Amino acid sequence: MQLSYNLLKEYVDIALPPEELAERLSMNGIVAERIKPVFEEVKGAVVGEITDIQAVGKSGNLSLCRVDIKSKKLEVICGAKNIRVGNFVPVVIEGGNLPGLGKIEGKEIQGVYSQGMICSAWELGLEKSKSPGVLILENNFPLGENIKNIKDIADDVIFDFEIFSNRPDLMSIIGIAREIAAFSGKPLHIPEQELIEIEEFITDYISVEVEDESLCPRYAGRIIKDLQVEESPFWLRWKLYLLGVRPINNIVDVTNYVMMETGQPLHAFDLSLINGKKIIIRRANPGEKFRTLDGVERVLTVDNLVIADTKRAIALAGVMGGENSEIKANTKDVFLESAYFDPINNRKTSSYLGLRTDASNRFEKGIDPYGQVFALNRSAYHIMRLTEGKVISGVIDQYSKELSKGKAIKLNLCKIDQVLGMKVGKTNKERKERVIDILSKLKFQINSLEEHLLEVTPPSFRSDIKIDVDIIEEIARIFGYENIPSTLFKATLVQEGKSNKQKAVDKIRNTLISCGMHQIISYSMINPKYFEWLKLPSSHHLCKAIELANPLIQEQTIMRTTLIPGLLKAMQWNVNHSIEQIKLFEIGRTYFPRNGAQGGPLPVEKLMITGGIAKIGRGDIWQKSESWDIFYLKGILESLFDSLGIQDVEYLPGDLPFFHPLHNGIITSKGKRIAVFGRVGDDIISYLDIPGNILLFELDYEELYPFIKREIIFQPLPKYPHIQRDMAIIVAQEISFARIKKEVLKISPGIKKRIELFDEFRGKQIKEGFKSIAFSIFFQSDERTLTDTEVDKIMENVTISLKKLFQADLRQ
Amino acid sequence: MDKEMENLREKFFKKMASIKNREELQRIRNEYLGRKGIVAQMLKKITSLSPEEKPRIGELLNKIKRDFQKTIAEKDNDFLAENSGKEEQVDISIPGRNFMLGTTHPIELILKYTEEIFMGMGFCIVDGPEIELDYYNFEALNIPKDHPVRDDQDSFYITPDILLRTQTSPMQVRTMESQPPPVRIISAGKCYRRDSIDNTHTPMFHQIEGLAVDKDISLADLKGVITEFCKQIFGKDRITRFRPGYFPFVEPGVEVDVSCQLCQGLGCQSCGYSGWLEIMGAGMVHPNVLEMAGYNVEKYTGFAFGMGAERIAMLKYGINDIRLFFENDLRFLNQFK
Ligand SMILES: [Zn+2]
Repeated sequence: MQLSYNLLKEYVDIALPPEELAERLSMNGIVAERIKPVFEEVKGAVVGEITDIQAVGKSGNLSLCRVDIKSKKLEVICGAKNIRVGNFVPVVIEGGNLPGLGKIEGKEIQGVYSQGMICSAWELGLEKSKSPGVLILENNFPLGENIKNIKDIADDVIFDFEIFSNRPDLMSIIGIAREIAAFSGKPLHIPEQELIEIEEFITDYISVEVEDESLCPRYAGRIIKDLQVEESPFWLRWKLYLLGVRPINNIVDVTNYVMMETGQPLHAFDLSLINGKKIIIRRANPGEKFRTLDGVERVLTVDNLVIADTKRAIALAGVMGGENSEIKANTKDVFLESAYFDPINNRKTSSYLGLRTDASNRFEKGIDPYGQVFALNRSAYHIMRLTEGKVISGVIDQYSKELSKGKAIKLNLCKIDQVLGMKVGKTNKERKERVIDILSKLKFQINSLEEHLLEVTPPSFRSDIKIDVDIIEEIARIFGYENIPSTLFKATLVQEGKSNKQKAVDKIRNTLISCGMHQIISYSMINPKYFEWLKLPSSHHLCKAIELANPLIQEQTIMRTTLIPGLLKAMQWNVNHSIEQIKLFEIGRTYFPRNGAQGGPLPVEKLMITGGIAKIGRGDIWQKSESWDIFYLKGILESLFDSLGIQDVEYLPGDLPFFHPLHNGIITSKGKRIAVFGRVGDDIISYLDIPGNILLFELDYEELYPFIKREIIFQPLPKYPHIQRDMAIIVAQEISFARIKKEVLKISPGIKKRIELFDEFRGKQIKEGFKSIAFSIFFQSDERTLTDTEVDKIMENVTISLKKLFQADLRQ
Repeated sequence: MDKEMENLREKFFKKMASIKNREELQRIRNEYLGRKGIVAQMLKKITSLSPEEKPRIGELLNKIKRDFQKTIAEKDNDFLAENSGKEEQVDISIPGRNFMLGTTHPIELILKYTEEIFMGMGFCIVDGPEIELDYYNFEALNIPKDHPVRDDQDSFYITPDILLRTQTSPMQVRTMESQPPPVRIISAGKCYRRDSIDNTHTPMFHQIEGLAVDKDISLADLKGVITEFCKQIFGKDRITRFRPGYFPFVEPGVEVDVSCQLCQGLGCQSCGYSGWLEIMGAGMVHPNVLEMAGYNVEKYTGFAFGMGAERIAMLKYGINDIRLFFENDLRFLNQFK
């Protein structure tokens, strides 16, 4: 809601300067999003009189104007069509400044040197989009005077207030003035008007039939005849600029001004274009076509309410008028409409048609159902004053019996103290007085029932007040939130802050970070195209994703079932930005349709932990010489399992189509699949245009969680020394280290053994199809010091066993 | 024993006299002072001595050990001094082989800080679904269909009844339905709105929601708790301001601002010349919401608040483009160590 300081001052006495007023209002819930002096950034603009106009150039679009600015006469080129000789206009002299245009230089146009510029409202910063012509001032303006010195105009300040959607009453000058009056205690000036009606009666001109009272609980109208449609006088145009409304003609301007003044939208019809002397408020016929004022033909449904005459629709109720009945230059008689339409239906219509107007914006939030006639009379008064129009006697005012009247609400005064956490008055008496004072300033009606009980009826324009806490908020607002104390409630809960399941996620995150990985967050919505990239067949369970019914962009149409696409995208982004060492992980949810009705109507959300590493470019530089292969990635996973106390894990060859077939693993624990890992397939890498390898893992937290060891139990340190033996064997390549390890551990089960790999080697010295594996075995007993002979014996058995099972040869 | 010790000394010093380099010295060190060295073995023998002899011999042996250690160390220093001219000085300005620290995402940092601050005030952390029923996301929060507030929260729908939550507030109702008062929870996570991407909007963002319901909870308590939170997260010198706000699920409604750190409240570009930065919406839980969750509105009151984690992070770290949070650029992430 845009309005100005001077405008407000016409309705309420204001002692505060503009900035302080804005500050004070924001503490009452009306925030000024913008405060701007009216001629901000305007420099060197003076009042000039156009003394001569000559067309220049061939196109005929430009004219050379001679402008008298008292001290001298200027020659200015102007493109506007709305100028006449004798007009007073704002003209900026070369060297001056205009908002948005910057410094204005004199320049040669069509062979004529233009010494400045005649300004439009937009150029002066008064309108948000280009004005159709220049701003014509009043002829009593002091010639040659800088416009920044013009009294009552230049000292104004424009506010742009943000109005909460539950306070449509504040979408008007009177509404905001009423608030100022309430907190400042200053009187509110509601303008009064004396309407002179002629001896003709409205009922002879028109009748109104409301077919659907629920959608139009109130419909009021007046007729003014023999008026002249013309440009509004400067004072009215100026007020509209201050309100952010573009002037059109005097009739439309009056209805717009009164809407901004009172909050009641009005519409003017050309009476001569209403067929059958009858207004019918009805639902549109299905498929009924109607051309609104903006020239767009709209196809309506029965849910849209129209204002019609006996032949056709003439307005879209509460949204926009029609071309077929609009006010034109030759209009003589008008029918003024002032109604109350059902907010919900109004909102449905305007959102269905995608048509939001100042009027619909007010109707849909709920205007004062008792403000129609006042606004009507106010408009008629202005039109009567501005034109020679005659006001026909009487008002049409049809309303439903259901029309909402303010409902009385019981307010327990003790509850105010309870909700606010303070005493509103030192004594009960003072509290009561204070409450009554605040509420009467807000125009609430008050009945004192008992000592601590009031019966409060909100004014008709406050449809937002429904229950006692709504009234308490009003009291708090006017009392000032800053005057409510700050207290800390006593802690009564003994619940633990986080569950074990939440804590384990924190631990996983910390471990991955200590492995040098960076946490990322990517979008939950992805493009199904990624499944193709990942070569997942459409039957794969990861492809059964939840679809958005109304996606915003192509890139985000389904809910992710894996974090891998987001991670790959992040890796690609970093590669494209020349980052060479990339270690990323994400802990986030994936989403799956629910199978069957069990577990409720919502989809399944599963937490996943996904990580990836990639090293691009030179790997041999000083700090980063280690190679990032599958064992590096596995090392991260092992560290993670280690930190979570997960011991029984098996690494098995995997089958995911997006991993390289030979670097493709799954991890299970007690037969449950808890993770996948591997090297991203070469074709995907080249598709992503990544000059290197990417290694990925994805862990399923739900599957992983049961294996997490929650408590640390101390194990006594070994009392006896261990004995170490190294062993190198040559076996066929397909014999996995895990199998060898498993066999070694089986021998002499009474003795503790730990096995550490120190080398795996294939190549020249080893015959084709074989590999060398070298490892240390650490032997340990809890009962005694082992002897060398004992250990030698075990080593012999190990050798025999490996030979037998795997045809392993000892390497010398 | 005494004799043995005498021999030991003699032999040792003789050998030491003929040593030529550090390798030889190392060998002697192992021979005499190693874990299974000669001195160690002699020390083992002490156990078989008579109680009177034990302390004396023990002390003598230890004296021998100390002498040997000293002699070897001196010799070692001599060798080092001799060689110092030959070994090259390292360039200690060469960078170390560092460990490439990982980082926490800045949004996660904010969620963690917030959770910790509120856990300190007795709140516990709960999680809720991101794909939510329209009922919990709107209706149970006093936002029926066709409420104008829905315009500000354009939603992604899966079906007419199921949507991506536009706020974390549904957890207020879910929590109250699942447990009797008193309640004190924080629920944080992803939310979604159909906003086109620009430097202040992304279709996905994070919210942090808080709710406290008990007997005798007041607006003054809300002010106290939020003031404490703002001090802890933004710093003690920042001022918190409370003013009326409108959210259908609270009444009275509150908007919370903190003073702008750039201009100290004087007004600058980053605070829109107001001196204040909006950080959250809050208020006393609307009786309709308590009632829909099955709480006794005569007995219980509560407050609730919600804030955008991205907004808090942008203010706290001076980030000017919300898109950076989801680009996952390492040059950005690496700054949050
Ligand atoms: Zn500032």
